[in-house]
Amino acid sequence: MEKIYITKIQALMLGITSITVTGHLLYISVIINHSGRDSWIALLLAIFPAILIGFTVALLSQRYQGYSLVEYCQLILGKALGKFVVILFLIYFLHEVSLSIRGFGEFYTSAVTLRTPISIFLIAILILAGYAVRCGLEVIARTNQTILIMLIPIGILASILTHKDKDYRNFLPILDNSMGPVLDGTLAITSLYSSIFVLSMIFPFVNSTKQLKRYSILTMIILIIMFIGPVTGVLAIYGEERATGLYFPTFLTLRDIQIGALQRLDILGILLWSLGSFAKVALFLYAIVLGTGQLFKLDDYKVLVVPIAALISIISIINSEDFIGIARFLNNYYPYYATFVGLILPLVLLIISQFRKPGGKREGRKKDV
Amino acid sequence: MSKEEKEKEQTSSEGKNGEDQQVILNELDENVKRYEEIFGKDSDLSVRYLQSDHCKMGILFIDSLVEKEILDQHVIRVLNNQLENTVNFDKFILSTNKIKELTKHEEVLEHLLQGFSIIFMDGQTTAFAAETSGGDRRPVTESSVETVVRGPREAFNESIMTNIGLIRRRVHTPKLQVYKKSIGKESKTSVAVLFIDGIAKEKVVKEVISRIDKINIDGILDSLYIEEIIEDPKRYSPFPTIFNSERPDRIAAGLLEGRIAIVVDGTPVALMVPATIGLFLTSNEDYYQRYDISSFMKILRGFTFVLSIILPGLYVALLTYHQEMIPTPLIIAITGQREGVPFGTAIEVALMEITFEILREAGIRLPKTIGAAISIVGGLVLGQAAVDAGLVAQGTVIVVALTAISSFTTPSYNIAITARLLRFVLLFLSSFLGAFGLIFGLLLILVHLNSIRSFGVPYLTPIVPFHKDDWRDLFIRVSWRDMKQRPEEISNENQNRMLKTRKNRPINRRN
Repeated sequence: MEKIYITKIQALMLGITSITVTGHLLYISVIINHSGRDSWIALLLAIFPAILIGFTVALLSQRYQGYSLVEYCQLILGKALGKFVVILFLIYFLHEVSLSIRGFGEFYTSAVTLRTPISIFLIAILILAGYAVRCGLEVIARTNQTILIMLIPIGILASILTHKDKDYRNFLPILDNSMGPVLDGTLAITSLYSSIFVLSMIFPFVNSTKQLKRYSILTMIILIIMFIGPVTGVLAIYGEERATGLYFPTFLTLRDIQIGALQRLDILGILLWSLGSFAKVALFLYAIVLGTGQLFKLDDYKVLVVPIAALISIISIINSEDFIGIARFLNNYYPYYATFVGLILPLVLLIISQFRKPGGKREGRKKDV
Repeated sequence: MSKEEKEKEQTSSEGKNGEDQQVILNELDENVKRYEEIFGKDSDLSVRYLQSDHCKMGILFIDSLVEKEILDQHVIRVLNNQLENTVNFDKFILSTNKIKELTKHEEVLEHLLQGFSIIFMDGQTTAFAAETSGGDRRPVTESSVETVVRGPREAFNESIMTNIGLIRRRVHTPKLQVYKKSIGKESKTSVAVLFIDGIAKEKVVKEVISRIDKINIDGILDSLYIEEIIEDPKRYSPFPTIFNSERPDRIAAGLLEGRIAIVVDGTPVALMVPATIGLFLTSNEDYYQRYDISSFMKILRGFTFVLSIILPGLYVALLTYHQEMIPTPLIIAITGQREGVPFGTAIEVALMEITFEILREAGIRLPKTIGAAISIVGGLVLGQAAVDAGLVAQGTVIVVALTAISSFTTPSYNIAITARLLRFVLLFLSSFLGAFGLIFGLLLILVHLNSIRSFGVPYLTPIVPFHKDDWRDLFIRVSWRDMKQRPEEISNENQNRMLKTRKNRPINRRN
């Protein structure tokens, strides 16, 4: 099997797409629910935990070069405890991706095609992701790169086109409810960004880990910048009162775009979120499949693609009966839970690894990727 | 001559040399008889006897493969003049450009079939083969498929030697290497691999040659045989990964970029690898027209290529699932036209698309003289009548026509075919899932495009893997002044195609 590697930038681009997509689609409303019109302050404050996340992921991968999360967990914590933590991480990834495709499916069935059953969309996106995973990491990374080249101009365009409706007086008065809600919002954003920890599964395949820390911190800052537009945009257009109740605020702002006779550019939203969700699901599916394969020491992880994809679709349906349940979960529990698994646990791993002997370097990977 | 005697003859003439090797016989008449038996009594194998007092010889040739004039002037006449004077005949008196000495029966057959004339002498076990191959071939003419407004007109013809010559005449360098081989158990088709040493990647050259060496087939009648056999083996792909062209300037340009050409005898279509998607969407005229208009055409062509894939699907998706996106006056107009049309939009579009495909196929198969008549019947009568009869709406006709016209702007025929097929897939998907189906299909294509390679080169370079410098010749073409590098993934380390160019100083009119 030929040795596959991707570049740092490709890996981090995967992270950017996967976070931005769920973030913009599902999570803007959570942030606004927590911090109201001061969301932008929460976002700015989130720079610090975000940098911490980027730093942790990169440093762990640099310290255990050539080892994936599954492998270095067991090196740091020992076999038994390590495996337990790995399973925790894998379940987190599974849950995360199931939430995100559920959100994607709900977005379709509630906003675009009302009578189509949700499972159609889940299965469609999983077929795509499964196909990509079977083609290998290189293909996922490249496809994502192509997608991101298309997405960013569309996103910027959308942001410019919605500008006419924005009224920045909606942000006043600043900090009316003191710092409490703002910090809640920061925690919510942190939990969202924590899912970039999934990159620890693909960093072993990066061709050089030099300056990985710098790059991943830069990525986190880019991510913050990418959230400024939608967070402030939604608030500026709808104001705090109306914005807090919306489930897909960013999509609604897209709908308000009007270029001459063209209006209701739903298709733009569909394009943005389908492409993005695909990248996210592909990345997570790859991480889960590869992680499970490594955990049970399978020779060929590709056999797991179909069963795990099926599992994801089932979990995403049994997550909750309706979207309200999902939204409630995202609002009330997700910030604590995801921050714990995505940020605190890796930090603990990092601290423990500080006191253990360095795990040594592995010269490139020769395993099947 | 019985079998035993034959064997006896062989052993006596060749001595120890293996018994199964058939050698040329001593007697002229026996030799002639043997070949006449092989080719059949009344075949196009001809024998011309020459005789003098002390020498008797026969010239064997296949009538249909030789150039008569060469045979007359340079073989028969020369031999006739010399016949009286010499006892021992020397091969160097023949004035043809290639002369070979043959001793084996197999060799004689091979050379006969390549158009050589074989000269047998009575009482000698060696024969001479004189190159007299020729016969009628299409002359070098302008390509009727790949036409240009400006630029060289010549196109390949069916003779491999002419074709290699056409390339060599454009790239006068000894570094242009030609690896010739004959493939096909029965057809013995000459196939040549051309590349420029020091520009093409050695690894790829080796791979191409080894893949060609592995071919084991009875006959090759067109370069497509080779294309499909040596393609990257991974999976099915609707996208071509080997480029073809019948223009020598195109092939020469590719060679200069480090690509490898494969020329096949008997077909004017030469192959070129590695091929990326940019190559297929480029016309050779892009390099012969000024770069601003070329860039515009390139962008336009990229756009129409995408359009030719997605337009029917997009139309169906919009009309069936996302009517709100269409401006209100337009949707009212379209709905008005569709009044009385019994079918759904998807069926309507599919119907028209298939009708168009039928027309197109008929257009190719028809004799040229009836073509015009059919285009009137097909285009005007059928289109107009279908609308009037309430079978299809006018909007659908416009969409199908636009798709068709778009697909003709694609310069490379084999990627236009890809678009033709994928169009139906996308139409199918978007009739089920609307815009999501369309995007599903496009994503599937995108993932697939990212997974295929042409001889190790990712298909989508330089988009991904990203190579900044190669974008100069992707959606736009910069001026030749600035095309300093060869494509990164394709050529080897020898990247620079232009050294520092002197800046042209404007001529000051006062001096």
